Amino acid sequence: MAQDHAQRTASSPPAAVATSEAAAAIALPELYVRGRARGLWSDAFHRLLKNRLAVLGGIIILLFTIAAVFAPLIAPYGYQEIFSGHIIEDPSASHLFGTNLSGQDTLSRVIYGARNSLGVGVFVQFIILGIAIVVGGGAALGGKWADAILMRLTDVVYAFPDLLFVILLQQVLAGTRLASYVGGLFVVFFAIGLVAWVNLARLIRGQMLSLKTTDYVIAAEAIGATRMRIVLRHMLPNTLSPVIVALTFGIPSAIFTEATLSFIGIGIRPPLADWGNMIYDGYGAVSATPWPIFFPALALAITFLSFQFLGDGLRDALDPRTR
Amino acid sequence: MTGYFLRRLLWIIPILWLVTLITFGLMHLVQGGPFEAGSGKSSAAARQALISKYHLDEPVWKQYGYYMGDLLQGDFGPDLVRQGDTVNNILGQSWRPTVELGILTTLYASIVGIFLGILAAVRRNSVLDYLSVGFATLGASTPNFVLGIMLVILFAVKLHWLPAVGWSDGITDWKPAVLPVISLGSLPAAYIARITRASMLEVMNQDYVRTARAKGLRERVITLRHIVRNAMIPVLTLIGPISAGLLTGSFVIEYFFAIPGIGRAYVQAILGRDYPMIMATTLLYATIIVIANLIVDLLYAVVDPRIRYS
Amino acid sequence: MNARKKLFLLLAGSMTAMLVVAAACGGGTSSSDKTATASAGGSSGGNTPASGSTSAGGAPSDIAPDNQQVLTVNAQAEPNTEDPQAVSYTYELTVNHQLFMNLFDQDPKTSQLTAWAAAEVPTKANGDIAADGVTYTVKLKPDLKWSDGSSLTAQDFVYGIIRGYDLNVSGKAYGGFITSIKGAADALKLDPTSATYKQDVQNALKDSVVAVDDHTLKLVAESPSNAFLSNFTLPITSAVKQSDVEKQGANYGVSSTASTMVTSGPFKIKEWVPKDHLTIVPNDQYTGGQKPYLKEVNVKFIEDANQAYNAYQAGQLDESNIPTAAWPGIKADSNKKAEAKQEEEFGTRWITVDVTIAPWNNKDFVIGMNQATDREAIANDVYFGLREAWTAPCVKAVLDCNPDAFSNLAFNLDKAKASIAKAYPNGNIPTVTLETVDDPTTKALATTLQAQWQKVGVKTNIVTTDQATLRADMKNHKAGTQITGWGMDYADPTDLWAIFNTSSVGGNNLGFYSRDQYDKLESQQDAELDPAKRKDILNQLQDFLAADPPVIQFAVQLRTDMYKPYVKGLVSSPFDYINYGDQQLVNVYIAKH
Repeated sequence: MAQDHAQRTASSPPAAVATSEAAAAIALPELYVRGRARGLWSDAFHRLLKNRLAVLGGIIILLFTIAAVFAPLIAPYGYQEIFSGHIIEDPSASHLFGTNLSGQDTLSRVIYGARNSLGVGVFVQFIILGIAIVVGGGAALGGKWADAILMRLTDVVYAFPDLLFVILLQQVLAGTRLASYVGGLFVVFFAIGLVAWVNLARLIRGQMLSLKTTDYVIAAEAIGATRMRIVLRHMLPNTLSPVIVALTFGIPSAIFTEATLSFIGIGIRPPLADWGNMIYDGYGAVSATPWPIFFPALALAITFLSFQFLGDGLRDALDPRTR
Repeated sequence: MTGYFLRRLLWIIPILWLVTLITFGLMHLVQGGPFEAGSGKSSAAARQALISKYHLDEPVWKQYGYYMGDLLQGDFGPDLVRQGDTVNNILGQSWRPTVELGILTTLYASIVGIFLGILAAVRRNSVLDYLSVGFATLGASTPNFVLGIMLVILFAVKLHWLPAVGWSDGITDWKPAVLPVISLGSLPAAYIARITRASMLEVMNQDYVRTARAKGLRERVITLRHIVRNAMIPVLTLIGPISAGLLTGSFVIEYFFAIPGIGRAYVQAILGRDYPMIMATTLLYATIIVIANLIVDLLYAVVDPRIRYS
Repeated sequence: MNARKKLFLLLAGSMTAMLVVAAACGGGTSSSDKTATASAGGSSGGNTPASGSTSAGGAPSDIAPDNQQVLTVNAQAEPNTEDPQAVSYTYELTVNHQLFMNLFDQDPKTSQLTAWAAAEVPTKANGDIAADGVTYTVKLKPDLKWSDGSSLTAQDFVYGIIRGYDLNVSGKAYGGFITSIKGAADALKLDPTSATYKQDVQNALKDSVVAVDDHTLKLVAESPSNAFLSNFTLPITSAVKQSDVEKQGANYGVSSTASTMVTSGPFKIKEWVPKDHLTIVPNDQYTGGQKPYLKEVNVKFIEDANQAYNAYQAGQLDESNIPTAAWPGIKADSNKKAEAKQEEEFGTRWITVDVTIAPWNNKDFVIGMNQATDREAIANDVYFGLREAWTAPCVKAVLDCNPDAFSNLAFNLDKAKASIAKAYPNGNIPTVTLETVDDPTTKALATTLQAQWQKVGVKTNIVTTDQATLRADMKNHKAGTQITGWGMDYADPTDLWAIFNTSSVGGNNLGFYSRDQYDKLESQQDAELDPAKRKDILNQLQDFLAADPPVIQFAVQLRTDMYKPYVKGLVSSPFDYINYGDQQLVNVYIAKH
């Protein structure tokens, strides 16, 4: 146990550290009985609602999500519509956020960009979660050998420099069929997801190991519940809250990583927009005007803060003992 | 416990070996080769000659064998892009800026972060608290390259105070270091500030602090001797991983400020399919990370006697 | 027999441009371009190296003291090497041209060959071209010296020229580019891995590259060729000092040994800091022409145009290329505009299309797409006037370029629709793919083309990737298009037209354009020594290309650089490498300021 603690806190770039730290700081909610569990979730929800910053963050995320989903209805123009003769214009009535180097409407691209940027943030979490459950859960429940092998595997992945490993994977995946769908978005999903799961896997393993020895699991075993049932009914749900918090912090981290890939020119492909490649494109015009960088950077910052606030709120709400 | 750390130390060897294996495999899966980008059809024969010279036409496992053979003798191999030069030679020159940038940024992030964190905690819920938390949050919410762009425009292009690109050793000529360090260090600074503040607040509620106060010690003494000292424990253990992250995660900043460091070499190497360079940089970074992890775990044991390794 | 070329790096630029260890032929954008004002920026010296004066003569009256004669410029990328036989990219050539002498150089104004290490240019009139039309005698200037003080002789040129055929040295660069020397084709067929390779190469060329005595060289061409002598302006034919090359072995020309490199040109390398900069200083032993005024030139390796321009504005550079988007602002500001220098390059920009795959295998479609491309809009909206709209694949200044021949390809939506309808009467046009490197200007170009082609019913799928993948995709017929162009190595039109012949396929001709009739015309025009007859063949050749175009030509390269006002003596040349005036750097000086 002590060893897990130490490993969990070990390195990785700051953003990722934030994720694992935040998650590691959460102790187990003590959910013994299903009936009480529901009460606990709703208690947590009430606590969350009292946290004004978290609510604000949640609302902003909701708004951005709506904008992303209904982009074609909300955006004034198409994301790849070109207005000839309106190159890098400053904000105006017809182009509220101005236009970019290609003469495209920045506001529309920020709105459509929310799809891809938030999409990366969220989908990457699914990949991370999938791998982390298999590796972390497998290590915790699969016996001594599985544990040893899987944890050594995480050690190895952990030893890679994150961003650089993502770039290498991106290059590998860019040569596969995966690259031909949605402007290479899947390449980005997998490149980030295949690297960023380590902390969560360790978290899940730690949680499950400690749950294994809790009274209610022992009790369930005693009354003859099947192993599968114990895992599904008792252990997974009780691992959930720290995982939710970790994933919440993981979203902005993945968005930043994707933005970094885009900034060095290997993110998703044009004409698709995301905030990272908008900043990169805007940098091409930086000697003329700051606006093409400003708006996507602002969207990125607001998103980051919103998830940060929401994550803080969730952590406090799900584990009332930490403050 | 010594036994534990000895085992961890030995475990580094297989980890690094697996890192070489995985990296080698992955990079050979990447399409194209180092001699693809060259131009001129007439050099087809020559390209073939180069390919066989570097064994690139042999099976990957054989190439791996050659590579490991050289590596075990401390030879990182030839630089395929700059023919005639060796990876040892190039890394020998480019490690300094990366390490200097990493160290300076760690110092900046720690000092600023701890200072803001303490300030915010001591003056909790005051304007100062909000200001420092606000500063930290904003610093963290802007990607480092965006911060870099803003700083360069303001301080280099408009005000002419600081250079826009380049690097010296960071000490004798400190000016080129300022903007990259601030750009790279603001996110970790914000993070350290958060943790410091939280840790301070936790310690402030501990019994021994109340006891000290009851004893009538002056507030300044209590803060410095009891609160700050104890609150620093979790913060200090963070600085290890953060500095490892900064050392290995600085390539965008190196790129943006045209700093001749390893991170930049790595990205160029990947895109140029310069296999030996990719291997060497990955291995170097992996070593830094693995050792940093080990040091952190050691630090844990030192500062928190409750942790026992077995 | 034909084929010679090697693309100059037109690349410049942006973030990715740096990441892209680019193929010589520019994949990316060149943010440095120009409009035809090839005016000398300063009033100084005026002596070109070729003028033969061995001292600076009368220094300009406004020259600053020696300790201020330091120029800091940007090469836009770090050279891989400065070995003359191994350099290939413009960012290598810009430095190499200062370090090593060639037999000939090109006049910055007339583009005619001038003598450099040679005492004069061989002609039939002066008897240095023999009656057989293939034997050339080149006499060297007297008293040429290496930077270590030793004599530079005809043998050194023989060594350098033959070394250029050692593909283990030059294979990634200009190796194999010059096939018009007798025996070259045989030398290029040799197996570079063979133990006797070096000796075999020498044997293949021993009768055609000969030192008659210390000051006289005999060169033999395979057959009469207009472009033959022009090849000896290329660095691959520079003299190098054999003992220096052998001493350094594989390390010759790379950063670690550069400061000991024995050079023959006006400069030598003082230091080379990897990934940051290199510094060149005057070579005191130089007697090949005017000696430089500058006491030190710092060459920085900043890949990104925005960073370079930032550094220029922050006072770190005396010269900078210009990010495309900054150009309107510079033009609008009279102070900044005064610092901008422009010249027309011998370079064009086009989209190579793979004529072996649909829909590009239909020549009516290619014609239609040429007609669908609004070049003015591209020049204005994408390049802000940093490039000039242009329909012909040759620039005006190329000998016998006939832009009128290509008027059928001019922008015209109605004609475009008709041509495309002719190619695809049922309207089932396959989607075309536009693969580009990922930098903002190239992407802006791609999205603009996408919108333009949409108007004639052609759907375009944009794919961004890196240069290496792009070349690989072209070779494997996966891409179909490549945004590229041609920067000419020398003024003779052979340098341009040979790109489209069959022997360039796979190298500089990634569109797989292969037409017997064209190949014939192309080799005829180089061999035809009568100017009037050659012009006639060149006209036929251009008519052929207009009827069956291998590319979608859209612009002419313009080089635009910023120079601090105190940088004087800039003499521009369409053959400048990276920076305005860098071919004639000896004339440049820092004025009092």
